Amino acid sequence: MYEIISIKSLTTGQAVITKDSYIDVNGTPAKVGDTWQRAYVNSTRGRGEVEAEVPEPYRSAIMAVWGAEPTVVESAED
Amino acid sequence: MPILNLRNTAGEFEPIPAMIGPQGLQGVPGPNEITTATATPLSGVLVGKDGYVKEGEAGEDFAAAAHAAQHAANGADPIIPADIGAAAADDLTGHISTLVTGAAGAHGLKQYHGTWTPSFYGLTTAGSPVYGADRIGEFSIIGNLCLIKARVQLTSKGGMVGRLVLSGVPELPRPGLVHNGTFGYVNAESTAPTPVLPYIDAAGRIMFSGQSQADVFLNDTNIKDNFFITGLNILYFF
Repeated sequence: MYEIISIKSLTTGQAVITKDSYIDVNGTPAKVGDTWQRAYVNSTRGRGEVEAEVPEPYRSAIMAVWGAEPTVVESAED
Repeated sequence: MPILNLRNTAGEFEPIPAMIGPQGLQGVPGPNEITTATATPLSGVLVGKDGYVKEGEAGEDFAAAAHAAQHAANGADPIIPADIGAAAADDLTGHISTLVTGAAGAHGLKQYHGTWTPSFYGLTTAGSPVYGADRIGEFSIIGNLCLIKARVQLTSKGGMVGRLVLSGVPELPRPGLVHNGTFGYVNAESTAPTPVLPYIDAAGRIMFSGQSQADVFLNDTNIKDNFFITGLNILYFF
């Protein structure tokens, strides 16, 4: 079994990571189980979560689009 | 479609005279004999207007000759639009379930189910909460609508301070809309506001506010170490 990680909805404000597991059946990939998915926001907290949870090279790909600074401020009153 | 009556006056099947020569197989023309067919005579073959071919002798292959005879009896083949074959191929192979999940899939409808990992943190101090055996998140996405469900059990608050936040949702909600949900919980302190409703903000943070007191939120002092939420449901647009 192997895992495929995908980045979708990658903008300067967010990124969504999906993980799918596959097995090979007679040379053809067959998806196993449900898709795991998580959205990240380009805030201070969200950037920390990406650093801690998203492996390379996906992390660098996200950060390349997000830039050096957060674009979203999470207010405590939301 | 009318069916050619190939029975003779005695109720027996008769061969088409044009196929077997002017005298008929047994020399007795049937009541509906065909006289305009020009196909090469075939021995023992019956062809009706319905296109069925009846062999007179077992094991013989009359396919080619039978077609010629059928053409003679029925005229030209029906005209089938040339694009039917291509359309059927596109439509039928495109209507497989995996393509429905893609933006370019059948009908253009994005619909799928999956899992997410609900994670608690404190808004003032995130902490490192410890989870019990129950830590389950599921979601269904239909177009731009996302339904999330979760059940989360803690065994330790792990130093969380401040407002309790549940994160890890599969999509970030569309800004400008308020998305409330429902849930049940156990092992809260007596200081917890009641009743409490969960809501999710545009940053994907699920917080828990008093139903009629928007400034009152569930925070770390309102829950015990073995706090347990179950049946969390929030439906939101993204």
